[in-house]
Amino acid sequence: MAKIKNYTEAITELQAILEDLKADEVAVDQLAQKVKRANELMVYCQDTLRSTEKALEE
Amino acid sequence: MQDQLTLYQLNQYIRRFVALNVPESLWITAEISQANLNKGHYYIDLVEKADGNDEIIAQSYAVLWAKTFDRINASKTSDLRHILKQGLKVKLRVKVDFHEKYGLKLVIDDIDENFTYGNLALQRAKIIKRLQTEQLVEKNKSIPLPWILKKIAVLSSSTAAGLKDFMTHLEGNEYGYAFDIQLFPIAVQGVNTEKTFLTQLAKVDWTKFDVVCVIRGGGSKLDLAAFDSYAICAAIANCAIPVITGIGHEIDETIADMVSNRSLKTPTAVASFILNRSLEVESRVVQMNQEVNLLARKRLQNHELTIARIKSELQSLTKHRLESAGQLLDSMQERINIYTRNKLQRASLHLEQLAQTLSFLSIENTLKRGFTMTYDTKGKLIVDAKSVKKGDIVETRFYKGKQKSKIQ
Repeated sequence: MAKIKNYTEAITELQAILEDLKADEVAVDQLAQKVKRANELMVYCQDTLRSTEKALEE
Repeated sequence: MQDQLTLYQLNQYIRRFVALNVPESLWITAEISQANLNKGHYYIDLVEKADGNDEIIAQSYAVLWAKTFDRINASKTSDLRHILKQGLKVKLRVKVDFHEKYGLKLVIDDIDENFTYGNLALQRAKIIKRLQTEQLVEKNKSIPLPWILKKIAVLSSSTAAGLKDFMTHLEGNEYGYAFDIQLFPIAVQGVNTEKTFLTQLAKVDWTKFDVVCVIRGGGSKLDLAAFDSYAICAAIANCAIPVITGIGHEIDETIADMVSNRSLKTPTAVASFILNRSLEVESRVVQMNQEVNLLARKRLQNHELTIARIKSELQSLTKHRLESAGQLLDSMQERINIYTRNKLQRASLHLEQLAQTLSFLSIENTLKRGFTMTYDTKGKLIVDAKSVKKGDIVETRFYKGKQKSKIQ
């Protein structure tokens, strides 16, 4: 699995997975992988919302 | 006049001169360069600046006694305290007073609030027009607001009540969302607003923040006038990341609100907006994930259904084929039977005919051609001459009739 760079990309990727599924463009073999990735992306976004980065320099 | 006067005599003379020559009271326009309030009395420095630059060309000291203030303030539609502020242009009715000891002083006995508001409105209209001409009004609005507003640069006064509201609202939120907030301190009212705003906004590293929030607590219309500055508004418009304003007004908006990406009425409203956006993003992400799961499951089910369908189709196809093959076999069997039967019937008929023909050919015709058949007395056909001896009676059969004879 590719490393998630930032939440904007995470959301974009999650949306892309959803669009692919809606368009029926995911092979059955890839389904489990996509579901796992979607979950990872969601958790990443939720973590991002709740965690602080190191304090920004004044 | 005497050759030589004391200072007191000179000032007495000026006082008389002023009292006699200057009308009792008159309207003047000026800009307030400083206003101090002490025990209800206003002590004000008035200036007039040259057109086009900030050079002071006139300066006077004015006073508004507490009693006068209370009297005239009661008769106005707005609160005069908002007008008596540094940097504002005012129209005042004054009495020119010269005192031997305290010098020249303008005693204010009325204020034309409409002048100040009108002046500001005119200035405002000019600035709006300029921003429109320079296509700055929509510029910051055209930047899409990031989904998550997490890294927030706040331009506010560290002592502003609005900032405290903003921080409290964000930091103590019930959803557990965390924010990286950095304050860039500015003056939120008065003449320093523009300068500090521009300096601090320039310090914001836009690669490190999602959004800039301009926050200040409630204030009068004239307090907020600082945010009608062209320079501030142009800086907001040209900011590389979205700017959200929460300048604390109920009715009128400042020009800064007009050019910002989004404007909200209060600092708390800005905090709520940010929180709601986080909430919205989270529910959206959760929902998307659910949808992904649902679609994947559905897809899998469909897949299984397809397999099941193919399987049952195969089964029914096989069954059908078998059945039709069976039918074919049956009918073939039937045809073979009929065929065989016919064939056999024909063959036996033929055989019969042959047999008849043969028997006809073999016996009658032979007899007809003169051959005879000879039988012994027991009716047995004699085919060997040795099987009979002398004296035996034999019966000879001709084509027509028979005769008995004795062997010699």
